[in-house]
Amino acid sequence: MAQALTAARERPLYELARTGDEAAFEALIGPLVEPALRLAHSMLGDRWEAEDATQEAVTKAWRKLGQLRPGVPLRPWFLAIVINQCRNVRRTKWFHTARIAEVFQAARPSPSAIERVDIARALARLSQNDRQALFLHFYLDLPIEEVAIALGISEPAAKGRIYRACQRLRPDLIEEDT
Amino acid sequence: MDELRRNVNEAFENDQVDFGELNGVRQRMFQSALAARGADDGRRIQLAAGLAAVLIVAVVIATFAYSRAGIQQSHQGPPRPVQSPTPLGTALNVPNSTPVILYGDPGTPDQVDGMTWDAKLSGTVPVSPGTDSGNPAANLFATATEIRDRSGNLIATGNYGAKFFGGTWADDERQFCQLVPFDYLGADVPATLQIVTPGQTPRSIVHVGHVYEQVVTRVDACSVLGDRAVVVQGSGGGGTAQYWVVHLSTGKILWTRKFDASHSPASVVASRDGMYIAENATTGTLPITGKGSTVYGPDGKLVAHLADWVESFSWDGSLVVTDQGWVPGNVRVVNWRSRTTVWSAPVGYALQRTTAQPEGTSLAIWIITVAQLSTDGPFHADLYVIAADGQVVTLVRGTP
Repeated sequence: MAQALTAARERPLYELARTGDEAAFEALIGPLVEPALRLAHSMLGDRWEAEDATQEAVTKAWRKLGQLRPGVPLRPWFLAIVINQCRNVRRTKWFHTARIAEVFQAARPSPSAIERVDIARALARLSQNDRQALFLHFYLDLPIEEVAIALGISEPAAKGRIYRACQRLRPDLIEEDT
Repeated sequence: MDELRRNVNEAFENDQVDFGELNGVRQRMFQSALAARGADDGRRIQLAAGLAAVLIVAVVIATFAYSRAGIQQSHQGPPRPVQSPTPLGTALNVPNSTPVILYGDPGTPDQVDGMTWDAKLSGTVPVSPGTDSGNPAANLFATATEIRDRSGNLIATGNYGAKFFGGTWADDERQFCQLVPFDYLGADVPATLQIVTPGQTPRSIVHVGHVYEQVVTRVDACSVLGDRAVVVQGSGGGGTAQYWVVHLSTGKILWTRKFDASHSPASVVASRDGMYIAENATTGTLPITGKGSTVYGPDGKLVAHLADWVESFSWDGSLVVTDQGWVPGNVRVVNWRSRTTVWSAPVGYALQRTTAQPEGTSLAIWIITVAQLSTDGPFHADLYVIAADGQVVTLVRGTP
């Protein structure tokens, strides 16, 4: 019965947040900040850029919470805002030229973990879209339907993208082996 | 969790090593966000005044334009039909109790059509495209707050999910199972399996599984007729941590299987009545592919190994729809006991979704070309209705 009461409190939490209740908003979005930061970091490769992007995403979520369509779960909706924010940051030319080198530097192999470094290298060479799909599904453990919402694509497309990303890791590994 | 998944996650984890304590960051972000909205309020009032003035002008112009258009139309005679594919134009005329298959109209993306399982009757249905919260007969549809019938009539209101319908419809077509709390609430709490009759107070069955952050716990089968439910809890990394087969009337756990990270099935699929459960495995090495499925029977004993993944069961549990898991293609309908293939999809097609005929043996299967998976859509699927003997009852091409 205690669980039923807990469940009954959830929807009011969302409604309260929509009407401007700051504590309710923080209770809803708070648990998503860390995964959002990690997602932003995986896209931007820089902690401070990731914080800025996530900060902006939290602000946008606060402004746009009322636009969340019924039936759309909160987590992928918020992560979609984070992804768009990161894309905006990456669109600036200075960022693109400054960060690519860092991404490859971060993926440089260490003698103790060759296999993992191979994967890291392969990941670094994936397109941003493919990396996002793997990060959301593997690292953040989002189910396919939430990956689809976060990326703004259909479920079959999300599944296909993850599959293709896995397949694309393979040539990189073969290349490293030879 | 397979090896690739573990390695990929380790690589991502290594990428994230420079993250330290995040509590302060979170606090700072919320303070800034809330302050920004406060500053917006003042600007919003000024903006609203400006918009009001623009709107008044727009209304005047629109009224003038509309009156002129009306005069012109009266000289043009009756409207001509629009050139388009041939969408169904008449409403589906069957009792609400008759199970139907819903599908997007190939000619009109905004229209949902329905047809009877024998494909003899079809017509439009007043259901929104993308609606995916219907019961097996497609005659009740739920949101987080209400349940309506196929005609749109309100049946009940209640708390049926946090932001969207969180239930799994039962095979009696009127009740559903749900797990509460609906979402992670800031602490790892035990989940409670409930059975819900719309309009009545939910009945708690048993604590089973946990609601964790970033982990999905769901009801995969809810069988009032078979007195069973199957609850599946995901693991970090997208696999399955544990599942439970529950006796609905007593709350007793009939049997359960728990997995460590290195032997976690990629997915778990239960039959409608919870009597059969398929565990879909993946290869542990690259390339990541399906590694077949293991089917367990009513008492948890292994009853079959199949070469491909089981994606769904027919209503009676005798047939399964299989494919190659992560590798799109090779969609088949298989009698899993005899391991005979009763139907195969054309080469080059991937499974999109399936639904089982309530109290029957037919399956509706949506397949799309593998080539479409290389795009982000929109997709157009071919809908096959397959009888138990493999005969194609009907085929609808190009349904969105």
